[in-house]
Amino acid sequence: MSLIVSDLWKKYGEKTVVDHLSFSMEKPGVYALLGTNGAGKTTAIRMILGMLAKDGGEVLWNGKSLSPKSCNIGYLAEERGLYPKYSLMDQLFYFASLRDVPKSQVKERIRYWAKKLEVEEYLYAPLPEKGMRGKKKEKPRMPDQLSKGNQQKIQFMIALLSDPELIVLDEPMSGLDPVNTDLFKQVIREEIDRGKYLIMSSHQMATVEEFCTDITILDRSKAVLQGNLNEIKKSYGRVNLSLKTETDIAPYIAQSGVVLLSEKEYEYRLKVQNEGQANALLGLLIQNDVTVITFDLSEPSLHEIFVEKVGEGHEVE
Amino acid sequence: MKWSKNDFTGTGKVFSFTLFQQLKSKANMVSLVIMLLLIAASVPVMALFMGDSGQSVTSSNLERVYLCNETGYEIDVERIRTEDLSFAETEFLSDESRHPDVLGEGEAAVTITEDASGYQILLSFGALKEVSKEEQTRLQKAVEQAFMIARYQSLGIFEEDYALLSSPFDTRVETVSDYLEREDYDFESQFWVQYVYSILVMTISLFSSIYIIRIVVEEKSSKLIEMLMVSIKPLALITGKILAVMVYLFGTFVSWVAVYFISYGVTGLFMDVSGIKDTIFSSGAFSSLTHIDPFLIPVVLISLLLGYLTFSILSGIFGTACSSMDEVEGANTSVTFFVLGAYLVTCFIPAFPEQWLSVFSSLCPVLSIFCAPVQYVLGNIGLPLLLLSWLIQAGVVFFLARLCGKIYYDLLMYRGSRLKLINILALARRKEASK
Repeated sequence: MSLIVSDLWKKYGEKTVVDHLSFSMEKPGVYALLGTNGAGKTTAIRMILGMLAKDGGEVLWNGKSLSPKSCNIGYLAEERGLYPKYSLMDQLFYFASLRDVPKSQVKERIRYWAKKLEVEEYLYAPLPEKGMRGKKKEKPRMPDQLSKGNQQKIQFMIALLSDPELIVLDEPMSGLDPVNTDLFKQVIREEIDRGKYLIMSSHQMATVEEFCTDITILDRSKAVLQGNLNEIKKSYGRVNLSLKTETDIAPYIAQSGVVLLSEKEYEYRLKVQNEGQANALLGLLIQNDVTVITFDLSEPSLHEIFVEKVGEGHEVE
Repeated sequence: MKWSKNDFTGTGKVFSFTLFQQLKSKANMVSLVIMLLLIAASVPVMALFMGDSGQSVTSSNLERVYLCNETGYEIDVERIRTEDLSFAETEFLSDESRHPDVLGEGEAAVTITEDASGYQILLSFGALKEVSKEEQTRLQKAVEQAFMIARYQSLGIFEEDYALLSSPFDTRVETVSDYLEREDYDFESQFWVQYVYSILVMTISLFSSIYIIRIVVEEKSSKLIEMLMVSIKPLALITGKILAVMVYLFGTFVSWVAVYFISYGVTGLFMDVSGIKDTIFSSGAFSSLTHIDPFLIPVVLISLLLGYLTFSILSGIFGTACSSMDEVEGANTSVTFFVLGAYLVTCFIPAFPEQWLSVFSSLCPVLSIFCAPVQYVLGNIGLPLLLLSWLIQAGVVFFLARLCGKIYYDLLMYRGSRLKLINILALARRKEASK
């Protein structure tokens, strides 16, 4: 299976909102679409999913135009909600029918995902306890009685009910508490392990970095950086240096020409030009009998790459 | 923009879900039950005010009537008792004559004789203080009726023939100038038919707009649209809703009518409902319905369907132009403006019996929803004009559906203050120009 997005573009009047976007997923994994607000991520996703007419380009799934007919798609939109007055179970059944989930499997799948996402208590009326016979039966909760996080879990269930081959998640973790964030991450990991194709859009770079194999960074409708995340990082080299010492090493840092980013109680974040410059600083410290507790030389984070790439464009402006 | 089958895939699922939720809604069910109870109660209440109750028919104080028939015609005394229920407990004794002097309280004697001048009926009452003048008149009429029928029957003329012979008729005398000046126009009937049909269309249109706008805005403000549209096209989404509301509303109206007739039938077992029937028939509507035939039902149904589709698509568009439930009122007002505007105009049309006005009101979009079937039923326009009217109405529905298809997605995704009709049309023009 493969997903190929080629030369996708869209204009509103004179304004280009997505400028000839191309990327592909040859194997299962997570592809990240990153960008600042208004960069064109959501518009690109809507065009990929066929919800918004494109002015040019094509989206192919296994060589065929991507549509709900050619591909089983699960989508968690950035703008989220539920029908406030309809029961949760009715809504799940409705979406299952829209996604052509076989009737015989709907209940089973709802039960599975309710357990997985820990929302059973909101979907199923609890059984009456002993000695409670004759008392009014407790009803399942309505959507407006759920917290935002729990509503988000129900929406995630809706996206996954049809056991989709392609899962598109637009800011999936926004607004979740740490416990539920971990729950979502766990589900995403499982879906990756099951060979699913995921497209994820997020502002939480750490989360994206945790899952994605390939990325596209969009800035003002254009792709400014694209490719395999590891290779992109490698291309930057190991330029981040974290140092922890027992004494002040500011004079040695200045002497070595390394850029000091921050310092807190002898913990330093430094930017080096290359590994040689880092090694030279380490040598200088040893030579001067400075005890080094931590010496960690690493590639730049996705956050740094993103800020650098998007920042470049804004600086020009 | 061309429609394809894919644009409507999933319509059935939206239809089932929407209809199910309408039927499941407690508010809908409570208002339906209240309405049905009011309708059911309206018949006995009307019967109470309009006609004499069967239970309140007071028995005549006449205990016994001696009938002396010297004519040879066989009078059916049972008929007198069944024709006028006040005599149900009165005993009729045939072939017995009684002199007025010997009649006791609650007794009467009827003597029918024949002489050279014709027939004579003499009614004598025993004690006048007990038997009222009204009762005397009723007995007189009942006896006259029975005697008349007996005479007809002797000639071999039975019930149905008698009804035919005794049916009323009007005679009019006029001169040539009277004929030329005569106004061959029954304003009351024309107005009544137009008024009743307009109210029906207005009720259906306003109800449909309220339901559709509410459903559409509820969905839009729930922020579920994007998750829905990955599985279904916008046109299927709105079509399913319109059809579901149509079935729900038509079902509601059918249940109203059914409950009315059931109540009428049940009330008729205990009370006199002839007053209600008389009121309806005396309104003059039926005398003018010259086109009553089996074709009338499809005429009304097709006209109502076209009217419903016009206003429901318009409601769908206006509803989608809202972003929150707070704006529902504004959208409802916009549709109500169209419906009430057309309704008010149609109420004045019967006042101007001009042929061109009948044709114009039957062909003019929106107005024709209220007027075309009425003008056809009243005989003011013929079948070809009615068909042309339907064609124009179908064209309007098609135009609105195209407009809806063109902008529905953009309206669904739109977030901001409610768009007015002028903004919606501008959006459609921009979409067209961008192609």
